[in-house]
Amino acid sequence: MDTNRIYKKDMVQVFSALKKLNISVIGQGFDEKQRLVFKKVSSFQELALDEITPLQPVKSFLFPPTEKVFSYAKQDEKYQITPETSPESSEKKVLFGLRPCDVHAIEYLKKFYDGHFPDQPILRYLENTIIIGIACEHPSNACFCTTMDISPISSTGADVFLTPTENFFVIEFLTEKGKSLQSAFSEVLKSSEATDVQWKQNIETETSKKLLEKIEINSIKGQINKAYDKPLWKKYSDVCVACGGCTFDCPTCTCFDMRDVMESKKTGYRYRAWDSCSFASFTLHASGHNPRNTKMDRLRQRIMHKYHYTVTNMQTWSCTGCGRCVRVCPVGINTRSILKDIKEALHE
Amino acid sequence: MSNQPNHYLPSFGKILEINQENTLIKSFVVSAPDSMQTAQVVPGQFFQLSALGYGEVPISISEIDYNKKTLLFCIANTGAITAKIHEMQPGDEIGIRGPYGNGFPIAALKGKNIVVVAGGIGLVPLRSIIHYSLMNQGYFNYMEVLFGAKSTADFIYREEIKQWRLKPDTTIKVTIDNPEKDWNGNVGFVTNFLQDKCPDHSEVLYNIDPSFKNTVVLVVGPPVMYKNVFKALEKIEFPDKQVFLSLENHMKCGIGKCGHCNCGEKYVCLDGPIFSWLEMKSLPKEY
Ligand code: SF4
Ligand code: SF4
Ligand code: FES
Repeated sequence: MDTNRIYKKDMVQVFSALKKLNISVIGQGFDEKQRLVFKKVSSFQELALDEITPLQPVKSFLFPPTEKVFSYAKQDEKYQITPETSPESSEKKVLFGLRPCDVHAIEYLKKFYDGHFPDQPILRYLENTIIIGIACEHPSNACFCTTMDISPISSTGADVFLTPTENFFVIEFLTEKGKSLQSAFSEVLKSSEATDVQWKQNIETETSKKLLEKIEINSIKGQINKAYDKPLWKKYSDVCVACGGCTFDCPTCTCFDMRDVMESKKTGYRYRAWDSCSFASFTLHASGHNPRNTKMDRLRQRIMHKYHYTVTNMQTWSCTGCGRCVRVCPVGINTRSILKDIKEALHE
Repeated sequence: MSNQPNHYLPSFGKILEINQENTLIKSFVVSAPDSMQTAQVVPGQFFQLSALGYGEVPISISEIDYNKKTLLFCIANTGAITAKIHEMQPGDEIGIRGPYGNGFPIAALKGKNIVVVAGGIGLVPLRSIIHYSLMNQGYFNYMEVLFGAKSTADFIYREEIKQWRLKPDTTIKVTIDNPEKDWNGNVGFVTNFLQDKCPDHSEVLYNIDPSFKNTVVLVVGPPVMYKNVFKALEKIEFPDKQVFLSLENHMKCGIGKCGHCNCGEKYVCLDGPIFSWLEMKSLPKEY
């Protein structure tokens, strides 16, 4: 593996080299309203890597909250369909400084949107995205990645991986895609010292101290559906206001709605937009029947889907422990506590 | 990756013929788009039909004419999109994607006694299998169609039912929920046919084959109805592997991505819409 150092003061050069390569950089920083978000940055200084991860999920950059699917026009009683290919989807971009949890989320999305009927628009975004991961030094007070078996220093899924120190990053180019960026760094890459392997370990030790205690849930992996009839759900769903925030901000929530807009008698478009299993309308039949008619049904669906159904279907939890659902919930429902309750209920 | 086809884009078929089945339901004969492999369409599958500017709805296939490459859809006017489809005229283009879903396990049904239990517009997806039997004489050993409607006003396929009755190896039984003037037929829920409560032809399943060995039950109807059918079958210990249901669910994409149809570990659009009763038992109780 190629391990080098890149000094923070030299990042100016890297950014201008990326610009020359026509690669845009997206990373966490403050927007004009001083909100911590993922955004396009033009310099290293614009990044706010010492903050916690933004509430906004990074999936927005490959699965936009809303996006046209196609436009249509009717001419001589015949329809013309024009697929929408937004310039962003074919723009080469680097997601700079993504934490292990968010890198895992993208790995999950990649797997989910591929498969029997690949989601071509989303895969196009993914194809043009290069991920520069970073070892996580600044977890939020809701983070529980280790419970989901993700280490704060895991580089799995990243094309390039950074380990931050005060003045430099230890940098590893891990995949072919990652190596394609090497030229942007080559001028300023410095060789690493033998002791550089220590940095990652130090971060793991330090970050683990800050994280919420790991709940051992591997013992209940594949069993969680047995908690279906346990009383624990109602306790949470009683206070849920069904705002959908936990799903919209979740980096691994994949659901969407598709709707049409008519612009004139003969023209219009179809778009898709994030949708949420927290909404009653999500499963409502045309007949009026609703299989998940209560908030309890719907809250349980969200949890079962993340911690049981995808384990069966895709051999993985679809939760990274990023804590966004906990941070966003207006009534303080804590997904990690639900997991804890499930474990207790199953061991009763 | 991105040189894959974009599965969200509809193709277009032409509406050739429209029939008003009852006040709520119209049937549409649609010529399949050239790009569609109609030979691979299986009874029980569904398509996503578009009224552009209004949206898309999943509609199960009622009949496939493999020679003419036409598809028959029976559509209930239950919302803004289906209302728009009802306004369409012969000659109009209709957006179409599919076929999607698994369809009935046709190969496994060969030589079987088929008992079709349809509640109301549940007859729509089942018509594809009845039609299959008409087109493939002798494919099934015997077919019995049990059809229950709320009232005579809710009947569909009146003409077809007359023709089905003419087939020697097919029996059709019809019932309506409540008595009506000028109706001498059965009254009561369709499940009564399976429950010994019907004055006419009770013990349907025993009469066909008391061992149940060679009999398969296909059910389509609203949740209350299919749950009652399961209950009735449970009582007589009819094997759950030999019962198939076409499950209705809210669907948007038809290809396993939008999440609307997800129930438990299954996606109705990919793993269904046809599930065996055995599979149904493993779905969360919501279904
Ligand atoms: S469920 Fe919550 S903690 Fe898990 S990935 Fe989604 S937002 Fe993050
Ligand atoms: S964020 Fe909280 S209140 Fe909103 S839907 Fe999720 S659990 Fe319910
Ligand atoms: S209809 Fe979209 S996932 Fe099944």
